Amino acid sequence: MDRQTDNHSDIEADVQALLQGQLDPERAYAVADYLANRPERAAEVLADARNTEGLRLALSTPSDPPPAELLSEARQLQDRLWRRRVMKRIAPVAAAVVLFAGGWAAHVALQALEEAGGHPLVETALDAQAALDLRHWMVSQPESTVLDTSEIVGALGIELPRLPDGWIVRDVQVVSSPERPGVAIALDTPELGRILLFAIARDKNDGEAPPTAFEYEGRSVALFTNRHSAYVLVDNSGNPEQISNGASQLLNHLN
Amino acid sequence: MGTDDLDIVGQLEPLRRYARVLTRNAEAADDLVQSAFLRAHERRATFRDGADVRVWLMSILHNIFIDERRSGLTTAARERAWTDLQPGFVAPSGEMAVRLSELRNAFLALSQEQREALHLVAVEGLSVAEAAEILRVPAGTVMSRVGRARAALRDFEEKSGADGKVRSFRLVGGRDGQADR
Repeated sequence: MDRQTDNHSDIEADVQALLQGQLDPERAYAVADYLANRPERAAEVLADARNTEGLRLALSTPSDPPPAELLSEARQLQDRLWRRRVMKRIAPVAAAVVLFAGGWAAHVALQALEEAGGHPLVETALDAQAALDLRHWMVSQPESTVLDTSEIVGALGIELPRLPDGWIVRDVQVVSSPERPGVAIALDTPELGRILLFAIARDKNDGEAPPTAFEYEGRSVALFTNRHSAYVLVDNSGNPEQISNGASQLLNHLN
Repeated sequence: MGTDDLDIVGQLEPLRRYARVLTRNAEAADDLVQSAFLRAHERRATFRDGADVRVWLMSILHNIFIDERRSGLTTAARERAWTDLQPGFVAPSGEMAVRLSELRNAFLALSQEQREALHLVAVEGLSVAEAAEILRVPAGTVMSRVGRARAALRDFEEKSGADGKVRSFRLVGGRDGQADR
């Protein structure tokens, strides 16, 4: 075999492409002619093709479905890569912390949190946002525009504020988080455009955190809590002052 | 901008298959995929946007497997005993079932270098350049490993007929294998 192929490495390199129908007619003719004149080599090529197809059959499917952990790891990684791509397109802005609804005690060392690897609740909200973005692109994943607040309270223990006038629900999804499921809601708003509200039940013994708004990985984020629920509002553009206005409106509707 | 190229859930099956070809053990293979996801997560900043996510993940998976082998986590005993373990593939069915099972066993018995080169290029249909990136060897090395793996499987098939029986001994340097055709 070597004797035959030594001087034909360029043709040999195209033999697989011939089998896969990837060659233009002229090249396909040349390679097929080469094989037609070498029946032993042609038989080897067909034996290789048979073995390849045999292996594809014999190795086709793992005998068991993927474990749930693997599926969830895959989804998380997918969401994070997608998010990273989205965020790379938004110029990072220096982090600025704004406390909204004046009078709140200054607190929350957000910059320290960011240095320590990110704010877990905000990270969860951004993961949820990435998932909703994905759904938005996917034809097979229709958006759900029905916001049934009493069902969400019943199933997830999350209290949702009445939405300010003019805020339109574009998608509602229950999403997973490391601790418990939360709900992510894509909203179109008159002042802020498309924003995301992420809400999740919180431990009763966690203290009340004052509402804050800040830049996070190039986005404006507002965090606030009310009784047994915690909320994250995310705006891909805009600034912390604007998002804090939106958060204040929601807070007013909760109290 | 589409998201298809970041479809990692869709890569789960090829990744598990590659891990099973490497470890030849279903449980160890899923552990390997899990480790690869964790490392990919830690190193997601190194993923170049626009790069092929399958090649990136398979490369990580390959490296972890090699690291584990070097550190002795994949024991020699397990390597020797792989035929007693469950490689974790569905048993082939139909008329060709016996022959396909034998082919698979012959494939799994190839050296790791030949096995994974053939797997990536032939079974998964990656280009030689992509396989070279995953295996971190020159393209020429990939091609020669694929060539030797193909020759070994041809030899195996030549020696066993469709009925699964050994046809004849093949004389060293002889051409009796050709006479049957």
